[in-house]
Amino acid sequence: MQALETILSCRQNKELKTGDNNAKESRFQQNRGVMMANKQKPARKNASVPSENSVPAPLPLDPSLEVNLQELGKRIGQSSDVVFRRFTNESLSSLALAFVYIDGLVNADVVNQTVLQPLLETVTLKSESITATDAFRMIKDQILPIGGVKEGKTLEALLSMLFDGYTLILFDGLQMALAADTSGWEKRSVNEPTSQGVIRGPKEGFTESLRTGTSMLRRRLKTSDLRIEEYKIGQRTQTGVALVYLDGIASEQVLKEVRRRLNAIHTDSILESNYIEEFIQDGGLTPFPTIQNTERPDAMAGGILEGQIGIIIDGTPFALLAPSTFFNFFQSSEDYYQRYDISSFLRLIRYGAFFVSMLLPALYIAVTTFHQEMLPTTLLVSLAAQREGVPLPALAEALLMELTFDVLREAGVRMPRTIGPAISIVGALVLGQAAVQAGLVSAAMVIVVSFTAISNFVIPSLAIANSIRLIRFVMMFIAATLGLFGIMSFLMVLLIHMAGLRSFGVPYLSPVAPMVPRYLKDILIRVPLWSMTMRPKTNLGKETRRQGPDQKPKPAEGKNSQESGQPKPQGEDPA
Amino acid sequence: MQKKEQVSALQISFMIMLFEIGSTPLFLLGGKAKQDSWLAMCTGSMAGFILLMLLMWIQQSSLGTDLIGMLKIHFGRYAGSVIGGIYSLYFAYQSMRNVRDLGELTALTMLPRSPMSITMLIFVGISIYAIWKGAEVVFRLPEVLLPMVLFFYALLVLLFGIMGSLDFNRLGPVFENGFKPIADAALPDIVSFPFGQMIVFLMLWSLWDKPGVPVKNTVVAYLLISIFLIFMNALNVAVLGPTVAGISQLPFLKSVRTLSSLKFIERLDILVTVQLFVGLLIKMMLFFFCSVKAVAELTGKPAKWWVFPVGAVIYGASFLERDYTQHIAIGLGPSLRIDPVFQVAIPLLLALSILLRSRFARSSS
Repeated sequence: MQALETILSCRQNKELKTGDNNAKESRFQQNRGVMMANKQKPARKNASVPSENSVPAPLPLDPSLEVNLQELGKRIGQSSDVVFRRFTNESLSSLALAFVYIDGLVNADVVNQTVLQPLLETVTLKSESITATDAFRMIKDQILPIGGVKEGKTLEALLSMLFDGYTLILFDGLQMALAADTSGWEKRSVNEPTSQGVIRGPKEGFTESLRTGTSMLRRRLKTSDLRIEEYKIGQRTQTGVALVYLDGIASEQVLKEVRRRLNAIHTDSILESNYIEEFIQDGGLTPFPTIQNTERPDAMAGGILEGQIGIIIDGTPFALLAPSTFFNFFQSSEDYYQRYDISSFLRLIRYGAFFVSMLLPALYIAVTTFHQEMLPTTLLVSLAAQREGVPLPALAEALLMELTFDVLREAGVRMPRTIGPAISIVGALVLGQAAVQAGLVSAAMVIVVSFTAISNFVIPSLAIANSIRLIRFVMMFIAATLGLFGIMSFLMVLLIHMAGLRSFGVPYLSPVAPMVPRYLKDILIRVPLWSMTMRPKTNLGKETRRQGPDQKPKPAEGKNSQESGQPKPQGEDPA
Repeated sequence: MQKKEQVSALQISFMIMLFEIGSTPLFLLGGKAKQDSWLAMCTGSMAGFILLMLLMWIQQSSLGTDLIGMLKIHFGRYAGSVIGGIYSLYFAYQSMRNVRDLGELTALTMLPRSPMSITMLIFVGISIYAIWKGAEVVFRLPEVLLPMVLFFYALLVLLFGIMGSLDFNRLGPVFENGFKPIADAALPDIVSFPFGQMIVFLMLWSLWDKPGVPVKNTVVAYLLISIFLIFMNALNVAVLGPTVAGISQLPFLKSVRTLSSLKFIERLDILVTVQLFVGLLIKMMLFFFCSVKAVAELTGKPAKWWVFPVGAVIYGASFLERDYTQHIAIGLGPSLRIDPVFQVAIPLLLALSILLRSRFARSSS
């Protein structure tokens, strides 16, 4: 607190020296306001808690251009990328202008051609008689050939625009400034999503740019119901966060809750969607994710069409979808791009893989430690023969291999691409083959661990795959102490936990528990699209029709063939 | 939490089915009737159905209250509270029987060397966790578990069929000694276990999100599960024959062990244990839940306050019986004798009181 006060008083001293009287007074008042505002918060906290270095209260512009520029310069510091450009013609007029922009955030061509050039060339501005107010209006309404021109009255508003890539135009003698949208910076182009690839289906993924993301959704959902609400979250990062939903389909209740939680976020920085996820998700201590993330605009559009709410975060290609149930994590957008029979089959495989990935090592431990009688005799004999030379108990053996695999996996993420093959050789041959030959682990264990690892990658959502990676270890310990009974008990505990979990008010296991039989068409299997006539209201939205009632393709019969062109509009049928 | 916890009609029917399955297929009920035990089951289920009608009628005529509330209304505040307290103990006792069942079963099939105190503690702990989460969570469990349990049973039945273990000739001759032994076996034993245990739903129907009883769902669930239980009973006899099925401790486990000629998996009794684990857990949890609900209502304290004490009582009581023999002896002896009091006599008294009151009310108005 003291440090803050000294800073403030320093600033006042400086102003005493430089500014004129008017400025002094207003600045003093302002500073007092700032101090008051700052005092209120930390006063209640402990003295030991470092005082929050919060954003100061808005500072109105000074009529003097010099003062404003100095203040700006002081705020930004002597950063090399900020460009101050004066536009004065003292011989002819009293009109003085200044441009401020940040090099790299603006498109230099745009600044030169649409801001600097028109202003420099316009003759009227150079005439003697023009006042600052006239010039302001003229520039705003006539001269700038730019779509987004905003006015700013406070330094803070201008600064935030400056950081968004606007070019500021400050006037001498006016307490207002213009900001022209000249933003344009180096962006990654739209690429194929790296983490959620498909064989058939759109190949484009979100990029780090928020605007690209919203435009991709707009291109997919050409309806006036699509709403995009933007927030700025993070005191220092001022990250743009966009809430995307379909008005009338997303539940108002959930929306209100999402907005409330977003507004309640009080943090320094939002650098990736996980920051938001951790701040707004339900059940802070659950191992299960309650918010989906996706890189795919088509997956997001699909979710939004089912009443979910999308959250796109500037600076990351991973967007969020909420509310999400357990079963959402097993749906891949490709399910709808392939025939329904193979999609259903693949989905069943995914659920199978989920259980294998969670249980297989634990089952192996339980069976070899407690329930050998379960195995057919021949298998038992060969297993026993393999394990004969292994010095470790089954649990230690499994732990060793599982941890080894996790190390390999982490190494795979970090290592440079060029030495990838070398690592795979080390991993596959040295750790797999050689470990078995050296008698450190049994061959069966290597099979178990590799199958577990591969199963883990079958699950489309990395979020839930990661959560079971951890549960697997707990499961292994329990299996080693209590065998199958322990595994069953722990599964039951997990089930109870999941049955009690909610994602923004939606039960996590819905529509299975609580069960809504007619919504089960897209859970364990996927029925043909023409059969999914109703949009599930699992997400607390409204149950509305999304397909015509009788869409099953069949050959046209004589008379009907004429009207079979398009019997019903494809859009919403509110009945 | 301010909102009253509510469950749907579908959840109630799933709960009825899983609750009635419980550990029932494990035992050969009506073994006294030999090969006609399935007929005894039919008789028991029919008698149970009449009882169920009575219970539903009681619930319909006192909307929005559960058993404890009814007892208080009809037997006066003090007598009603005392009877309610006894009911709570009765539910806790039934719950404890299931805990012990599971403890013994686990020791018998899965973990012969682990102390029963640990397995039973885990069992009670799981129930505490679920009941702590509330009625909504408890009633969501059957929706996941029942399809799984039924799938496993179907799988086993299919295997019995494929392996040729089934010999329905063992069920003959039907009515060898007339109807008398069948009725003897069915009444009151089979009525009190499992069909009469529907009494717990007098505590639970009031949780339905609409007033009254989901009659259609309840009746359909009851009938379906009766058919299932009768079939499983007949299946046991068809696999083992009436004599072996009658004398073995856990006949269903024995039946499943006959499947060992399958080359792939030697012993499927683990599968049975999984099913029984789930069945027993749900049954025990529901009795536990009713006990907690009853005590909470009698004392006016929130249910969460009572979860741990009641859980501790159930866990402690499960050690009272010395061994499995005594456990079974009590279960088949004194226990069966007190069941009708709680399952039939008191509901009958309640019904009588409701009738008299409605008469009285009508004549006075």
